Amino acid sequence: MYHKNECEGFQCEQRMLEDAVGQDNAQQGILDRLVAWFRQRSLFVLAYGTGCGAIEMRPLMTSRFDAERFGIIGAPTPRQADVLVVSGYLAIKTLKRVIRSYEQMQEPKYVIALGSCAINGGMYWDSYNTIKQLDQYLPVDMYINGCMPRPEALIEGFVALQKRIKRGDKGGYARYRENIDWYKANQRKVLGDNMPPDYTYDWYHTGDLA
Amino acid sequence: MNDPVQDQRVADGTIKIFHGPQHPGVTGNMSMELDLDGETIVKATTHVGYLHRGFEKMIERRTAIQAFTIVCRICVPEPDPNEENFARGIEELAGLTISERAKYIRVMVLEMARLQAHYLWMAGQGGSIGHEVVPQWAVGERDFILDLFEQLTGGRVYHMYIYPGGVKRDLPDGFLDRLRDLLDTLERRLPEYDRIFFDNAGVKKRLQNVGVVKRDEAIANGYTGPVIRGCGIPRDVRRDSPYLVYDQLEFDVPTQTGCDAYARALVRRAEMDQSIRILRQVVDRMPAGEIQCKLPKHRKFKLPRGETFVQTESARGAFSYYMAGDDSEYLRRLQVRGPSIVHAYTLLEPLLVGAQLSDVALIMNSLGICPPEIER
Amino acid sequence: MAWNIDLKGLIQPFSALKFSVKQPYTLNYPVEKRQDVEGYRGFHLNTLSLCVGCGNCQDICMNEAIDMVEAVGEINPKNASGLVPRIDYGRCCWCGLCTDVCGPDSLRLESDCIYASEDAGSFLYMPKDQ
Repeated sequence: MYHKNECEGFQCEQRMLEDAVGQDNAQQGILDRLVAWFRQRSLFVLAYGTGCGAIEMRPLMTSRFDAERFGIIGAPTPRQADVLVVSGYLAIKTLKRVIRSYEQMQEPKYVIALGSCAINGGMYWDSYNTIKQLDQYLPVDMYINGCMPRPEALIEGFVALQKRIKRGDKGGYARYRENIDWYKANQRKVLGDNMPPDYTYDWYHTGDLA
Repeated sequence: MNDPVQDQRVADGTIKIFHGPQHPGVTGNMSMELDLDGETIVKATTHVGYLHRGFEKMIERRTAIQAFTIVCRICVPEPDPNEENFARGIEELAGLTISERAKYIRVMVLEMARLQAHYLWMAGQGGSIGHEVVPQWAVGERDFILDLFEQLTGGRVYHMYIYPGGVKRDLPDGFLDRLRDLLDTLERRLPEYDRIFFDNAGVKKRLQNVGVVKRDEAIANGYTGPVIRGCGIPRDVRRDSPYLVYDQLEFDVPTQTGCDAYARALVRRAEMDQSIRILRQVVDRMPAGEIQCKLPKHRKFKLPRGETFVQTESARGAFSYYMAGDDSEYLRRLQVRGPSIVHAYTLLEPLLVGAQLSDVALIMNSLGICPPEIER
Repeated sequence: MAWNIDLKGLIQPFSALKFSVKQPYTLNYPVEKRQDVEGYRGFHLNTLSLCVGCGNCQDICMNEAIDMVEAVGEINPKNASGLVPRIDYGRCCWCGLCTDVCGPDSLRLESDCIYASEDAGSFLYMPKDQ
């Protein structure tokens, strides 16, 4: 956990992960650190309520738990957004739209998954129409525990994402580019003929910028 | 070129856009496919299915006690009418009776859920017309009601509290006093909302004569909730076929005759006052007693052969369940019919013809369309 | 167009300005926290000296979130199988049915519920022994 020293019951390699990545921080130049400082304090969240979790995003963005103190505010279009919050489960029809929105966002971009449905299937683990593990279709940068997570837990998740940005590691979008064929094969298995068009990603192979 | 979309565009000059699932002005995850001539809508089609989880199939594989935890997720903004419907259906199938205290506690939970759903509606309606103050106030105050839910049931949003046979936990100490204080605070703050929202000249001009529902087809098409009460027809499940202890409580069913979005807004405002009135009566009259009757172990709780139909009034309309059991511990069939299924298809598609593009979000919020209950 | 100006409706909304000098509702989260609510459904706790390894919790959980695994450390001598529950937080929905059905009342829920991680494989939770 990010605000506690011990994992306390979670069987995680969190400490090992943080120790491994901590060495990269020493090699960041002053300009990279400055850019990361700016980026972590102005996160624009795409306005897309994909599932149950949209009900706890409202208290987060309004007066009681004011996320704007941390620099988090909503953006209406994917071209201007940094963070895509997948709030809960994803039906197959929504998965196609979420992939399209994710590919329309400019890099650097991050994905936060709320709730237990994105981790291992959650409540709908035996349903015929939902995605069981989001990590196979989109690269996820932060998972937040709960069903629904409290707004305090959401704030902790965003702060953890900010710390990750500060560390300077590339995150999900680099993973998506490098393993694009694996992700597309998984998506094709679920969506079948209903895939988003090829022009959204075929330029990845040539190595262009987003 | 033989491109059908291009040909249609040249022919009538209309543009097709998706007021789509990723949109800040849509209430939940659904989309409208709109044909526009300038800013005026010529044809509208509703697309839902983005939230389908297969509830009715999943419930067939869970025993009755296991299924009660999944039912509350059918409608996300207001989960309690679902729990009440499910519990009442199981009680009618299995022949259980619940105590008076459990009935009063259930009424209290349902009215608190109605109140917080109306606050959430106010936030949505204010945001859709660009009034940025009301969402911040309304969601902030709704949070105090959710604090009380947390003390009572253990969770903010998904309560899993109304159990077949009664309720799950007893009231904590001092809960009724805290509820009374909260009702005093809310009642003192509601006139502020009148001043900035309901009596605001700008809001009145924006909401009047927008989204006008035809009164003569209201009963035939099955509109329920504030939509039909905004047309002047006083239909309310709590009055027409009372359940729990609503026949012993005093409350009015407010109606308005305008049929437009402003009339529906005034109906909801009056319903908030009535909810506070019912809650005060319940808090004063809370009887003592048992809260739950004994149920057999979950794999031995067999539902006898039979079928039942139950209805509850939620903040958006009449919520109905059809349940059937055969002689096993699994429920044979559960059919959910939420109020928005008629409002989103039969009512919304002809209503949007001739409206402006910027009114679409306003009309969807005013009708109270909630996609998870359309396609469970 | 008739010129009936709704003067009250135009002037009254400005009364909201008086709130700019009042204290807002905002909870300054990391600095002030809400009081812990008794009975909030958060992480699981399991008293190993009471748990008998009966598996009732695994039976009632319809999300199949509970696995019975080998216990580490001191366990109840009445625990014949030597197994204790471990909960997968990628499936759990915090309904509390497992705590209701627990015979010796060893499985309970505490009020802490906050955990965020980048690693999806780290959400298997062994309840604390308290």
